[in-house]
Amino acid sequence: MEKQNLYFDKFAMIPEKVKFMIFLGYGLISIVFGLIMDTPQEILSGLFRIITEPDLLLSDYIGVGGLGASFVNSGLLTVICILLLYWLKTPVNGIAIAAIFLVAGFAFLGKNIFNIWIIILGVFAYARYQGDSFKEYIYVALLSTSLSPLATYFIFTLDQPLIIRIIAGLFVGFGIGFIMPPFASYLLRVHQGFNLYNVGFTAGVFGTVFVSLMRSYGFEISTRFIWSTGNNFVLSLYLFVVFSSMIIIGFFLNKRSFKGLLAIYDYAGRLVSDFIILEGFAPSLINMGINGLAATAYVLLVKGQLNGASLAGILTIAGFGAFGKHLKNIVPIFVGVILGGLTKMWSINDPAAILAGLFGTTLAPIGGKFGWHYGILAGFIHSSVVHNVGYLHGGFNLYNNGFAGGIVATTLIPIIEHFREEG
Amino acid sequence: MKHYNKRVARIADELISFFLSVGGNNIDLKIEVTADYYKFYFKTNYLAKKDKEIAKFCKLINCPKQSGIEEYYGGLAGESDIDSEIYLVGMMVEQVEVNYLDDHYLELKFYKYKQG
Repeated sequence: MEKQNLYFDKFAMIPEKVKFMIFLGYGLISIVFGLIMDTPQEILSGLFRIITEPDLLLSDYIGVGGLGASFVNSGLLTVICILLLYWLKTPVNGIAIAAIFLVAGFAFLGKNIFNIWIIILGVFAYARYQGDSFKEYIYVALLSTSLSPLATYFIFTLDQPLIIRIIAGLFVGFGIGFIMPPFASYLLRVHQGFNLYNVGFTAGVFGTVFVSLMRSYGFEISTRFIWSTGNNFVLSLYLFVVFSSMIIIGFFLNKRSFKGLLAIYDYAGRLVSDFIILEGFAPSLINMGINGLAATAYVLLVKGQLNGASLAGILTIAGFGAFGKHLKNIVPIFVGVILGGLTKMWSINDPAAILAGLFGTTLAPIGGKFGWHYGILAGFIHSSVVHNVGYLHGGFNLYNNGFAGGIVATTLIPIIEHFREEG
Repeated sequence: MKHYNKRVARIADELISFFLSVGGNNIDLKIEVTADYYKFYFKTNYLAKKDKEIAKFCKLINCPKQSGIEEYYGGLAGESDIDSEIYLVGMMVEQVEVNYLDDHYLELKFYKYKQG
């Protein structure tokens, strides 16, 4: 006997195929946009550079391979992820959408059509080892690709013969994928679900241990900083069209209404707040569009740059519009980071500060649960912590803010919890 | 994640924590264990003024089953002192039956299968 869907009729209202088609459409739009921006030759040579150059932070793929190649890379990864989820018959729920957008976003900042597979293969092997279906691990597989730069570092950068580099890269990437599911699941309990980018926290802890070992054997990890500028007009236009279309499609799927949106705002956003399951697909899509517009507006308001790195942050915020983030719990984080920028030794539109604002929304559930003032505090503290943790993992963990967010949540939650009345 | 016994303990923890927070002071929990499943019988009272929370509970416990989410996030159930994860419990269990009884009592029956 299946569960009665008395409360969740809306969940079944929109066929899964339609949901897949909508997001497949966004992947194709990204590819088409890329093809418009550059010639096929420029895109191919850009893709080659994206694949073969180091991917560690901060490698803005628009700066590495150009607008055309980076959008084609993002679009291809989006399409591949969606087809993979469809093939595995995975339901289109909030975590699936968040994972797709995370991959699509970080396809501008370190993930590419080559480097994600090694880690995914490791997770697949873990599923087999457990005797489970890969379908149950697909979310963590997609999310775990945050450590992809570590595998490609060995393959393309290490000063060793090619065969040694390939074996080392495959071994490291596969090993990361194999241990990530139990590791990520365990570390959830440390911050109790108040850090939405839990895999970022996990990858940060793992990366810190791994890089410490590497450094103690004399490996020197060079830093990288590629931050493209000058594309604000064309990218804001693109993002405006994409996010507005989400709101419009959601509005029509929602029987020409915004019903359910306010119900989403009532959730604290703590893991596991899957808005698609809890409130339905259409209001979640509207929420994603609103989040995306708000994140784009934030970058433009603080006079920041729209580039590969900030696109990663914006698309992530939009994706997590189906899995924990909404206007009410992300704005306090923005305010906290801006206050940090005004009072600390960096400017609010410095690259790291821009990224802290966007990715700092990993702590949105703190404001959602305890009130906006705690959200501001979390953003304020986060903007300092994130400036200091990148060195620990050598820039190999693409979700550096998830790592910092885990540390901030782990610090704040026990204190808040201790001084809170039971009830 | 496997560890079915621990998952069941976490589900029980969430239920008890939630109903204590809505004024339950007469809580019965029985878990029947077979080779294939755990069957939960849960009966509790709650404060009359908490009707709204109970209605929300009934909605969340009926969340569609999500095995992928359970595999990754199941460890969060029963972890927090300050928040409940009833929707996570809903995503971990099957065949939920909720009955409202007299005098603000609620009866709950559901299954947790060992596979899936």
